[in-house]
Amino acid sequence: MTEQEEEKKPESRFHPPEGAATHERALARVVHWFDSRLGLSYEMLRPAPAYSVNPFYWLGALAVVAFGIQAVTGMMMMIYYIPTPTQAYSSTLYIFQNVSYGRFLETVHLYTAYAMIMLAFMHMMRGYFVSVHKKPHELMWVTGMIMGFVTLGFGFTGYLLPWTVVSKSATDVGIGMMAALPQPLSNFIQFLIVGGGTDSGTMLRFFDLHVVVLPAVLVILLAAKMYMLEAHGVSEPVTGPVPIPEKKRKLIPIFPDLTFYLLELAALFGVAIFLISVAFPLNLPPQYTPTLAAQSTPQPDWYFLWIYQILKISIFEGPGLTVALTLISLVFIGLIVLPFVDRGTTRRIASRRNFITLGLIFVAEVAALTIWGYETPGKIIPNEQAVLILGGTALVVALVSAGMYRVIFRGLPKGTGPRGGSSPNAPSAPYATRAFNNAALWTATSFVVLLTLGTFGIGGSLTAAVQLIMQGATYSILTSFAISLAELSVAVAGTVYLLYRLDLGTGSIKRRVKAFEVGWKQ
Amino acid sequence: MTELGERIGARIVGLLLIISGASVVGLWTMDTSAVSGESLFAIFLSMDLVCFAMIGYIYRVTKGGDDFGRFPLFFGCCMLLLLAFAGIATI
Repeated sequence: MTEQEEEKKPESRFHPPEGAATHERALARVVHWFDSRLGLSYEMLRPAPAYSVNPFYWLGALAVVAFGIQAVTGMMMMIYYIPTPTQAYSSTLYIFQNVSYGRFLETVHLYTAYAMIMLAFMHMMRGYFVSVHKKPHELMWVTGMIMGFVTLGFGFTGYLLPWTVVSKSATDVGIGMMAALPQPLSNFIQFLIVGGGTDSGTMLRFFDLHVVVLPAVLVILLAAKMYMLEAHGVSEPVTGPVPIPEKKRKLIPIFPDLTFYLLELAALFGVAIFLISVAFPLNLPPQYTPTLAAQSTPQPDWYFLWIYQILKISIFEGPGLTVALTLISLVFIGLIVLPFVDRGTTRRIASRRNFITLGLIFVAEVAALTIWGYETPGKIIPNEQAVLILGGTALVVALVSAGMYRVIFRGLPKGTGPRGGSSPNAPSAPYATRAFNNAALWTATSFVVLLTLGTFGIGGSLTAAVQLIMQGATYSILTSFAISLAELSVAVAGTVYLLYRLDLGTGSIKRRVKAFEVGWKQ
Repeated sequence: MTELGERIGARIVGLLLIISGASVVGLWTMDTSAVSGESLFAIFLSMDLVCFAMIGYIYRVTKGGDDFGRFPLFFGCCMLLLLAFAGIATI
């Protein structure tokens, strides 16, 4: 190395400081060692603003951590697992019964897969609500969506591998549904995952997709997304007219600060997974046989239940299946092309009522369909019931959203800036304060809690009243009736209190109630 | 970060290193064929991870010159206590 090259080589930023405490010197020495050996001072990754030290900014990173845990546990299981229809189940059972901590390994692998899917979904929905898909992050959003589909692909292909009666039956249903997709998509997918149609061919394809193809695709997409993230930086938080404090704008280095932060989150994530895995260990269902399969009701895993529930609506039976699959595909396509549809420049939640309402309806429908699917395995859903539940959910969410917008954002200045910030001349007080934003958040949360309580109260008391009339008064019916009425009373009293407090500042209250004004300062 | 804060940080890090060292020893001396092995393994591993997360947090905060948040350290200590009790109960 020449003298000039030696000069160019950057110094590590983590020399043990002079006169520092012993623990600080020791830690700095360790960090300095890694920093100087790994060359992290070259700053391959740019520093990030302090506001990114927030778990919501790291949901995607945690999904990647989950992927890492799955890779490690998956490789351990591959030592024993044999991907043939005759030996898949017995080798899985062998891991359960004979391998040290084999059951723990299988459980961690499964629960981390669930966590990965849930984190990916949360990452997507958070991105949707705070508009991370806006210019110049459009292609990052598209890449992220494809990564989400790959994650679902992991779930679909991995589900078959233990060859249990539950997994094989559900996968058969899934494969059967793909035949109803429009051509040539149907043929292509059939060729990709089923091949010649034999069990061993399908098994081998699923295994290859699960352990080779999908991980490779995911890693390539992840690299592309990281490259784009490095180019564009993280999105600013959506604070509306409230400016981001200077302290939060301060740039902090990726190493060691943000790396340590990610490792802290990853450690806590690992703790949660490990403890849940020992608390609720996996039980292996019986092996697949055609006889057992004929007796069982096929049901996909929870992340596909919402799709399955849509397909069970009677209008989509038979030839309607193609229509249903096309509609579901349109939802996915809509999510992919979102950045090219939602082209407004503002990211402010107050100014995106329609998109926020649509997002809330989507989340509520997916949750409702999943719970409903879990409650009605294998049952065909009558059209009227589907309209009532899906339409009712959409209507309730839309009304709640409209109410929240009216209560929280009424009279707020319109924003057009990238953060949704208003023009410099727009009125700032009293809205441009963190206290106001916090108060709005608390109000919205209380409103949603009260609404939920009220809904349960109304439903419960109606059910109990009907039971009272039909079955007569019993202790349990009277108790549930009393509890429901109490819930309803709390919801009503809470709503009145909330509305009273909201109107206190306006001076429009004619009849003052002192008990409702505790802690109120004019 | 005050001097008192730094001294407290140093003591907590020392304690955490002892706890994580003990849990590593526990991990390596475990009987892997025992029925309660999986639970103990997960508990020891979790203790190690919690200690690591707390040390990372203390290092990050000390380096940034900020004060320790009450919640993270309190939460971490509670987690360690709960894990220790769970470990004793499992044995």
